[in-house]
Formats: sequence, C-alpha cells, structure tokens
Amino acid sequence: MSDATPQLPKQGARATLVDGLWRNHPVSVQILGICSALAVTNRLESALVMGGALCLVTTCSCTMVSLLRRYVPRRVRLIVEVAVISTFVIIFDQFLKAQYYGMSKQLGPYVGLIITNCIVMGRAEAFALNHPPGLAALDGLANGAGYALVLAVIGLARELLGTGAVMGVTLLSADWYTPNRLCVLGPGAFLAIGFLIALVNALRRRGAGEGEA
Amino acid sequence: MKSRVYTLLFMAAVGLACGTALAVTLSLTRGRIATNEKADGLRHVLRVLGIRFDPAAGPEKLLSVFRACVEVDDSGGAVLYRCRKGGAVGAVALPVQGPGLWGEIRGLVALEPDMRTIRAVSFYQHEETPGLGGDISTAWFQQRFEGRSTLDSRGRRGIRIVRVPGARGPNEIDGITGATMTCRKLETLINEALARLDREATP
Amino acid sequence: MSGPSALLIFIAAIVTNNILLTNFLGACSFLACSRRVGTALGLGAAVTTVMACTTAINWCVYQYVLLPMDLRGLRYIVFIAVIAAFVQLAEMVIERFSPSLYYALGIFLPLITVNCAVLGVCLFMVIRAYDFGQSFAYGVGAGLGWTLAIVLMAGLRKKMSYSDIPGPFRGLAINMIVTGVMAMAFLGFAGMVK
Repeated sequence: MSDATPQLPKQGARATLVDGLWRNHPVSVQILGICSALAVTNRLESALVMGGALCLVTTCSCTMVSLLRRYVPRRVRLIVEVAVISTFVIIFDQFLKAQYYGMSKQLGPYVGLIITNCIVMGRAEAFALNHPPGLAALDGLANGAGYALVLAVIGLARELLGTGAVMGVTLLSADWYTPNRLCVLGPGAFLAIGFLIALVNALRRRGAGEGEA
Repeated sequence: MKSRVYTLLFMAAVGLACGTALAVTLSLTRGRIATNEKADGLRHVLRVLGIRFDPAAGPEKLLSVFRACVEVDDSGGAVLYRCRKGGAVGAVALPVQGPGLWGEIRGLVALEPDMRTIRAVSFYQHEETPGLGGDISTAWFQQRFEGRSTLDSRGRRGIRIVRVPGARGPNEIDGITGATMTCRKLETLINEALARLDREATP
Repeated sequence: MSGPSALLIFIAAIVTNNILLTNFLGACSFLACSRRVGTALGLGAAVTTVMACTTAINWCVYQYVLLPMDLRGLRYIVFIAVIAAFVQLAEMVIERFSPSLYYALGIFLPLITVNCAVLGVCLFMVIRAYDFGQSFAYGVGAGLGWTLAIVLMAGLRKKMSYSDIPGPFRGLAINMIVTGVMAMAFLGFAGMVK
C-alpha cells in the first residue's frame, strides 16, 4: 500500500493558465472562496489588496506543497497544507502591518481568514499535490489572479454605485446621482456577486442546472 | 513504505521550518509595527489641530512632527493636546472615548483657542454598523461639526446631535438618518469630554 | 472594556451582526450543504458547539499565552490549531453518540475546521477586545445566527426547486441573490436593540 500521492499526466502550462482564469474559474465554476470575496469589496482599494494577498499566498503555498508532495504522508497532508498556508498568511499579514498599517486595519480579520479560504486549500489539495512545482505555481497564480479579478470587478461596482467615487475620484457626481447605499452594505455584496455569476454563466452559455437542486 | 516514525519526523521538520520562518518574520517586523501603532492615533491629532503634515509620511516622521508641534497636557485627569505651532496655534484637542452602540468609540474634538467653537472632529475608531452608525468616521458627517459652538443659546456647555434636518441652535448638529442611537451615544461622549474640560479648567 | 453587555452581543450576533449575512463568513459550507432542513440543523448545532467552545479556549490562550509572550502575530496559526483539535474531538464524540448524524454530515464535519466563520469569530473577539463573558456570548450567538441562516436557506432552496429559474441564474447565482435578499431582511433588525 503505497503512501505517496498519485502523479497525474502532465498538463501544459498554457492550459493551466486558462483553466484558472476562465474555464475552471475559482469563484464562478468551482464555487469557492465566496467569504472574503464579499467582505472587503465595499472599496476598490481593499479589494485589490485582498486579491493580491490571495494570489500571493496561493502561489507560494501551492509551490511549497508541490515541492513537498513526494514526501508528505497521506494521513497528515491536510495539516501540512494548513501549516504551510498559515505561515505564508502570517508573513504577509506582518509585512502588511509594518508597511501599510492603515490598510491592515481596514482589512481587519479578513487577511487572516485567507487561511480558511477554500480556494487556497482547494488548489493545494486538488492540484499542487499531483503536479510539479512549476505547474503548481502557475495554477496557484492563475486561480489567484482569476479570483483577484472578480474581487476587483465587484469592488469597482460596489464602490462606484454605492458612493459615486472610486479611490477618491468622483465619477458619478452627487449632482445627479444618488449613491445607492445598499451596494456598500452587506446585501449589496451578495446581490453583486449573484448577478456577476449569472452574467458569466450567460456569457458561457451554460448554467442549465449546473449542480442545482 | 512510510512508517509512523517517518510521519512524526516529517511533521517535526515542517513544524521547525514554519516556526523558523515565523520567528524571523516576527522579529523583523516587530519594531516597525510597534512604531505604527504608536503613530496611528497621532495622525488624527495632527489633522484636527490643523497641523500640516505629509499624508504619506512614515510613523517616525509623524512622531517628530507631533513632538515639535503639539504640547501634551496631562496635568488634569484627561490628556489634552495643545497646538504649539505649525497649525491652529492655541487650539486644543480633547480625546473622546467611551462606549458606542456596539463597541468603543474613539475620537478627538478640537476647539479653537476661544475654547468654545469646534474647529474639527475626528471619530476614527468604532464598531458601529457600516453604512449607518459607521458613518461617524466619514468626512461628510465630521464636517458638520466645524464651526459649531459648544455653548447653547443660553451659554450652557454641551452639543446636541439632532434628527436631520433639524439643526437650528448654535450648538446643534445634524445627525445620521438610521443611526439615532449611535449619534445619541456619541453626543454623550462628546459632552462628557467637554464637562471634563470645564472641571479641570476651573481652578 | 466597557461596552455592550454579553446579552446584547449575543442577540446582536444572531440578528443585526449575523456572522453570515453581515460579516460574510461561513458561506462555503453554507451553500454546499444546505439542501435539507434536517441536515442543516445538525450541521448548525455542530458549528455552534465548536464556535462556543473554541472562542472560550482561544480567549484563554490569547490572554494567558500569546499576549504575555508578545506573540500576537501567531494567533492565526494557534487559533486554527485549537479549532482543528477541537473538531477532531467533536467528530469522535458524534461518531460515538449519534452515528446517523455522523454519516449524514459526512465530509462537512471535518470541514468545520476550515469554516471561515469559526476562525472569524475568534479573530473578531480579539479585534473587539471582548472579555471572557462577551466572547463566549459572541461565540454562541454567532453559531446560532449561522444556524438560523443555514436553516432558512435550506427551506428556501427546497421551495426554489419548484421554481422556474432562468438558465444563467441557476445554481450559485440565484443562491447568492436569495441570500442578499435575506441579508436585506435582516438589516431591518438594526435598531431593534436600544
């Protein structure tokens, strides 16, 4: 009874990239990582920092897990994944506090919650364990970037529609646009992501009973 | 064939590696974070006292500007920040601190040298509902305080935060719709700070 | 720290500061699991127990170990270790005393470890500097609030299975929108507490 994780046939780098960014997109297809997607998207700036954080942590963690894949005993692989991810998250969090303190306070606990973010764990478990470091890093990067893209879009929409301004620049002046406060509040986040996913599904011409009921 | 011993050794190695990485990171960033935390509140003091500073300035710069321009007066019970130079000289900032609706509210009320008119306010820390009570930290709400008097038409000390758009008297300020309770708590905190100031001022 | 009483925090955690509808935590397992009201209730009960106990334990660990040793930055890893250990314990207890629930919950039981809500509650408790009583009340309340949301969602999804939903909206999209409407409804609770 071999304890090593099985190795899948090699997959091209380009296919990996496309998968993460569109075909197997972490949020809309794999239905993962919704939590932090919603909390920090009330402002574009926080959404961008969070997206960057997740991209960085996913890439590093997947690379590390992939490097260890031949040595990790099956029984403890989840623990090892959590340990690796936590370490990278803490490192990022500490540097954020040191260099960009204001943003760290704005993001609150949500940077720490990257540890429990389903995407990072999901990719480490599903991909990094079975693929060489180069591809694993690329996969982590692609998924992270795809996720960051969604965060940026939602952040832009919510901040623009909710306050009329984006990152300090007023685009919809208060003269004629009444900011829709609901967008920067909780429900706005759920609605925004619901409609975004519906849009993506429509663009894909899918969405017919995909795992429903 | 991997055995239990191997598993244990592996976990120990991973633990050691992670531990080392973390120890290094913590020691590298510890000092800087401590400075950041110290400097964090100062930014607001400088702002309400009108002292010019570079918004992108690092915490050490902020600390030096603070030491040069602000006189910290803690002779009484509460701490007062008096502007020495670089801004509205003679203006005094009172810290405002206490329970809001959901958590502690921390802020500053800066008075002009006449000790009556509000120069500026800053409520920078709170746990209020985002979009409702949470708006006490926005510029548009805080601007409402500027220039208002802390004395009512009969000369009694105290401000009132009233329902929009009812502010009439010299010491009345429009509140936030949907955040009546937060505003009420805030009003209490500000008046407590003003009362403390009066108590300590009278010899 | 003076502030809201433990009772207030408890009530708020269920309605006005609902961990899922206001803080967006715990959505993953919430979305994937909530198909039957019965299972949803079981999972909710398990999560509530885990939250209550881990907030208590983690508060003690934070106050008496991390703070005195100036290791606040390590709280993420310590908290999650405590949560993982506790969930393992809970798994063993449930398997022993209620095998049917154990099999119904399946993979979702160990997944409580990575449920953002559980870690999130511990992190919020630190940020808001709650004392022990407040933390425990928050843990229990947050768990109950999460359970409330997941049970409501299960019921709604059951009803939705009879609805004619447009193609692109089926699946995750309509779930998110319904959750958004639920969140709006819960917003109405704001101001209920004086």
